Amino acid sequence: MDENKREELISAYLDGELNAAEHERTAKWIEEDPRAQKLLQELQGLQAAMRTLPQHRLEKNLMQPVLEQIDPQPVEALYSMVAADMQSEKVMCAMAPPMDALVDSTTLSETRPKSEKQRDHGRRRVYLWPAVAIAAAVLLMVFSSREPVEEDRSVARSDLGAGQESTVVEEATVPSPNLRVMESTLQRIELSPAAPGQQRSSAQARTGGAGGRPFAEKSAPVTEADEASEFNESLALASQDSQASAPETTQFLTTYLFNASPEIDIKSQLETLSRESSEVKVIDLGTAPHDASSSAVAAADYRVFDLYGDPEATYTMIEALKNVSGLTFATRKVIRSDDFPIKSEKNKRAATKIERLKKNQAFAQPVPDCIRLIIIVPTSRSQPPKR
Amino acid sequence: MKETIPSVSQDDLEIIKATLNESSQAFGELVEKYQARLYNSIAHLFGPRDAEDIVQDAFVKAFQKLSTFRGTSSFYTWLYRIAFNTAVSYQRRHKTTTSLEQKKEKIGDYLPDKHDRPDECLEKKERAEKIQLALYLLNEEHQTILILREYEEMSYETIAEILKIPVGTIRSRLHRARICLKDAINQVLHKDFE
Repeated sequence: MDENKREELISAYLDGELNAAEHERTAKWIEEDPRAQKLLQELQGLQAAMRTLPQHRLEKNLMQPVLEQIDPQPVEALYSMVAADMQSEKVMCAMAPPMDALVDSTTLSETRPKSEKQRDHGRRRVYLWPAVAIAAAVLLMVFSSREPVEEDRSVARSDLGAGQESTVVEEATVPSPNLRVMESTLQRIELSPAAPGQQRSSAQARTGGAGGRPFAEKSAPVTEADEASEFNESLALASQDSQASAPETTQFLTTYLFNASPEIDIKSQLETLSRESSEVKVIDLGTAPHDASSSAVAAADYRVFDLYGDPEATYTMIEALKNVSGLTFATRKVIRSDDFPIKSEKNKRAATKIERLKKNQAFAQPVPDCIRLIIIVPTSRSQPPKR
Repeated sequence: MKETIPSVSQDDLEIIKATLNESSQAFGELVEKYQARLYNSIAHLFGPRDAEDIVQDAFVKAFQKLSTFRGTSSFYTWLYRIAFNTAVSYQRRHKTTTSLEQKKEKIGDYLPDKHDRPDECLEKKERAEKIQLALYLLNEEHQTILILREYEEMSYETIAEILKIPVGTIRSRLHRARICLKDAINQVLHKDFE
């Protein structure tokens, strides 16, 4: 063994990086050879010296910047807001800065011809559900607080398209097939891929336009604007209308709400994401019809991007969106549809309104195994609501 | 005796699980825990000017890749690997080179021993700064391996994994680096260092 290799052994001996045989041999050599002893001492001196090197002190705590980067608006904080104010989503939406210039209508991933897509129907089906009325309904559900309505009435805040296959559901909230939901006072969600077979195991898991009670029965009642209330009823009516010919199939629709800040180019983000999940579609459902006098957030208009996709594609989308800077995973709603009888004059008025909407916007068929994703983007400046 | 790569601590594992299962906020605990150590090391290797950005970037990347962390090494080692790679690509991207003069300007703070007398403290501080300068005289390869071994006290196996070179190479390179450092210290101190 040459001298360098032998010296390397002393170095490794110092570091405790020799195997038993090498260690024994080197220890014996050091014991017998003064040069080896000298080298060992020198190396020990160097080692001690290296450990006295000046320290570079970090001048700021990186925790907050890192968390902001990975999670632009901490979910916990949002849920705290939910707890603090049952009009939480008004708060959340109002928090997002305004965005003046945004795409008006976006339909992504239309690369394949429709006929070809239809052939894939059984495998993974995605439909565009261009229902402005539904978006408006969802917005109202979002922007309106829970009201102390009787069970059937609140349940009946339904998606119109879903009403075509309507529903009586036992549980108020049922997780979508590939989402594990943790229910608590502050609703939280843990996303996880669906276990094989899990998706089809429950009849309740068949999503499609479902109706809804976006707020579960848990919280304290909050006053709701008349218009919102009326509109909710109108949705209920629409649901009932479409139930007539619907099979007795339980339908669910899970709605995810994201807030977007104006720094991000949401159109391009979604295009990028949907390239990966080629069967997720996006539609800009327009501006929410808010009455400026009815609520604090009414001063703001919102664009709603309503994404439809099958669970797998939507899961991919959600996961990706969670990491998009400037986009906040705000909350999710599990919505169900239910039976809702016409009871009042007010409902009749709502029904008329719905009919008018129907004329303007055809309702697509409900989408099986579909999860809905909504991105709300403010389009004009507004003051945060007073809480 | 030969060390092995340390496995992830129970505390870290729980934080990682919490981050993956519940909230990204839990990840903040890992940032708190390791930021100073990682920054110090990266600042020694790549200079303090960019170290903060590199460390922040490394934490973000670590968060994004957290689900791929298998727990076969300590979290810090895994994080360090990310930070090291981030720093290397950062340097490549920005083509930064640092002159010795610039390096002299960015020597860190000597941490005095509380038992030292003021004159001892000053002497040690000067000595530590000279060792730092001597380290800067070495090539990057030698600086890196010395920091990883002597400062981070990483095992040869861990260093090999971070630098992507065989363990046998670590042994020889480390020894050469030590000999070079000894010469450099002599050069800086103008006297033998023993």
